[in-house]
Amino acid sequence: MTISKLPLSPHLQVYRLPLVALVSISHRACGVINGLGYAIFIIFLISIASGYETYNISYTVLTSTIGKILMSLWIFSLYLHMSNGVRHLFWDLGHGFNGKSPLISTFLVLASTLLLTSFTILLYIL
Amino acid sequence: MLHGKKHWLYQRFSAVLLLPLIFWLIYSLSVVPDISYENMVLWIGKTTNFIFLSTLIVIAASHFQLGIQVILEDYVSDKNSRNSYLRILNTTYYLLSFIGLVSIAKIYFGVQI
Repeated sequence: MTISKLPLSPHLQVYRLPLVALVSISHRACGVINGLGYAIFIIFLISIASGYETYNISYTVLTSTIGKILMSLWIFSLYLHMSNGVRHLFWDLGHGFNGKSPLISTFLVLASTLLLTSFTILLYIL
Repeated sequence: MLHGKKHWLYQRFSAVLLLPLIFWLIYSLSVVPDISYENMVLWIGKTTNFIFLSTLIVIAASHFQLGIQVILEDYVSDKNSRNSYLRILNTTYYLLSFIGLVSIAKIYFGVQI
C-alpha cells in the first residue's frame, strides 16, 4: 500500500457548491448513473433474446409506475450528461471561460436538459 | 488502458459519436407502438436498427470505461487499488457489451432465417 504524494483532487466536501459547481460535478455522477443504465439496458436486451417468458419480466417492470419513474430519471441523467458534454466540447475548443459565460452556459445546460427530458417523456406518453 | 493524449482524444471521439446514436435510440424506440415482445424482436430485426444498436453498445461501453478511469484517477489515490477497480470495471463492461452484442445478434439472425 503506497499512498501517492500527489495532491488529491477535487475535495468535494470542503467546498461550498454553487450552481455552476453543482452542475459540473453532476456530470460525473450522471456518467456513473448512465453506466448503470447501460448495464440495465444490456439486461433488457438479454431478456428479449431469452424469449417471450423472460421478456415478460422486463415488460412488467418497464410498464410499472416505478419502472416509468426510474426510466424518466435515467433519461434526465442521460440528457444532463449529454448537454454538459456538449459544453465540455466547447470548453475543449477554448470557448466559454470568460466573465459570466460559465454561469450562462450552466443555465443553458439545465434548460436543454429539462426541455429534452420533458419532450422525450411527452413523445413516449403520446 | 489509455493514457494522456490518446485517452483524451478517444473520450471526445466516442462522445461525439454517442450524441446522434442516443438521439437515434430514443427516437427509434418512441415510434414503436408499444414494447411488446413481438415489437421488440421486429425492432432489432431491422438491419439499420441492428447496426446502430451494435455500434451504440460498443461505443457506449468504451466511453464509460474511459470516463470511469478519470473518476478513479481523481478519487482513488492508492495506485494498486485504483488499477484493480479499473480492471474489474473494464472487464465487466467488456463482458456486458459482448453479451449485448450476442443477444441482439441472436434476435437479428433469428428473425432473418
